[in-house]
Amino acid sequence: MTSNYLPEQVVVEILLRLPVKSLIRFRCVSKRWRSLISDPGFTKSQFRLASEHPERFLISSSSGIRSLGCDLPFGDSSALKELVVPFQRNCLRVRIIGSCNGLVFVALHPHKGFYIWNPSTGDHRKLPDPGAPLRGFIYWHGFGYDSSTDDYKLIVASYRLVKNDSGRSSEGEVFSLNKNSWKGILHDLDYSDGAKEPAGILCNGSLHWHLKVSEPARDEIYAFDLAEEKFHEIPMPIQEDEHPRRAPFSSLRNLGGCLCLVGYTRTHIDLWRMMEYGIGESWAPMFRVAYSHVKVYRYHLNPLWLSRGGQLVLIYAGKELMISTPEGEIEHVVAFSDSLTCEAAVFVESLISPNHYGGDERQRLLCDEDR
Amino acid sequence: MADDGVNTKVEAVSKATTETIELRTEDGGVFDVDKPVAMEFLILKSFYEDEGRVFDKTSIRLPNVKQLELSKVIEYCTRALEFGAKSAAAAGDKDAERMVRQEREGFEAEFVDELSNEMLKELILAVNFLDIKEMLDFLIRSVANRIRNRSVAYVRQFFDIENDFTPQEEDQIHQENAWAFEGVDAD
Repeated sequence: MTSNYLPEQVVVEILLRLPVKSLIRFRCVSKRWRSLISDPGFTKSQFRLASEHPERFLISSSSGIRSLGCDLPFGDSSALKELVVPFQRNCLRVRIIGSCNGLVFVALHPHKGFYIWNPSTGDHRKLPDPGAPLRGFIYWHGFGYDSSTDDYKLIVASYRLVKNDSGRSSEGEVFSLNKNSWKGILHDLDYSDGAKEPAGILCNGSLHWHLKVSEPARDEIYAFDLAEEKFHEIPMPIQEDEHPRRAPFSSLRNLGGCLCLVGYTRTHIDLWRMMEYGIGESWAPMFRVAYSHVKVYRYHLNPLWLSRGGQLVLIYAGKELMISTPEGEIEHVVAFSDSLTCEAAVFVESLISPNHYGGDERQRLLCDEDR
Repeated sequence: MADDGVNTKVEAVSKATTETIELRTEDGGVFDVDKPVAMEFLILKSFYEDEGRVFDKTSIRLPNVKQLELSKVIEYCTRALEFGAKSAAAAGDKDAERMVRQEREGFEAEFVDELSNEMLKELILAVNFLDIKEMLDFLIRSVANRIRNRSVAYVRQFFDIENDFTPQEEDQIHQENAWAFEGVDAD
């Protein structure tokens, strides 16, 4: 009776359906399996399959970094999983700045370096210090993937007060993981006092910021195209005077893959969605969530993620997760911290490693750099 | 003479109900399979449809398949077609759709539970040969579920793989990713 070896094609299909923890462990099975699992093509296929499943929330607060599965129901705070951050030093807080494709962009605070980190595997890479010192107040940042060059990019812009009439000097830099270098980008306008929130919202290959321009007074959405490395404007919903006044928009989000605007009335959170990217006329109301029955302060409600079933998950006051019920009301879910400062992001569990970008010299372990 | 008459009559009757195909396995098994089920085997479908053959010769020999595997394959494919029909009938009714889904999940869980590791692999080889996409995907998912929380030793035995790492190399991989080896099912 001959032994029944499964064809390698079938073995790969089995491996693609395993969670990241199993894949890391099974690299030990044999040299052939280690080579199959480490193959960049396999990593991409695994990521594509993993993206179809519920992702995970990454929450950073003064109590540390924790993750939680996005599959509803959430359970209670015992479902939160503590994560070890391999490059974290004592007393330094890890600030989540952006998340894309299973990689997370973080900064050790106060300003002790930027890192790109895969929370599922622990793989990480410390970024070289930006050329022009970005020690000023960082007013814009963003992280995303450029499919045209298979590259991950970061943008960071800061300003410093200068002792002359111009008041501020602002600098912007873009980092490319493949090139492993920062590059200055031109700002012809200083948006520092216009941006509502510093985090750029990734959607359709661009990072987006919502600005309040003063002359003439209007809202604008400015987008940075990661492939072209240029800014362009995205139209806001068209003002129609006949319509009843809707809540002014306070923030921009990517919910369910679409660019969304969030506004607050005294009783509801209003969500609008750009149905077709770039088309101003395609802005349409999505749904509203009632919150007045719960004692919450509206401006501490931070929309984070939209489930496949259309439920909105929010972070409230940096302390807890809340969710909208199918009936359109908000309710408490999981408490995780007792401080106001926290960031959260959504990530996919993948094998993607920042060290696979930028040539062979990155294939070594980077622990030494952290000392 | 009398026998021919009887056989012709039996054939005529079965043509009037469902067409079947006779499949013979390599270990002497003979199965009468309903045509819709047999057409799920792409290897047969292309033999008949692509080559434009008519169902006159209704007995086919399957060289790489044994009786035990074929009976399991027929069982799964027959139920899969039934679930497909039920799903289509329930379309639009969320509760009915959920019931069909749960029924299917129950059947699949039971089906896989009864399979030993050896049988699971034999089925994959048979289904891969017969080219039945849906069942292959189901079996692949079942193997992934079965091994996901198992040890490296278990997986080596399951796939018949020899360890070609030196003890030092293996130790190093362990140390670099100790967290991935925690909480694993005992062998």
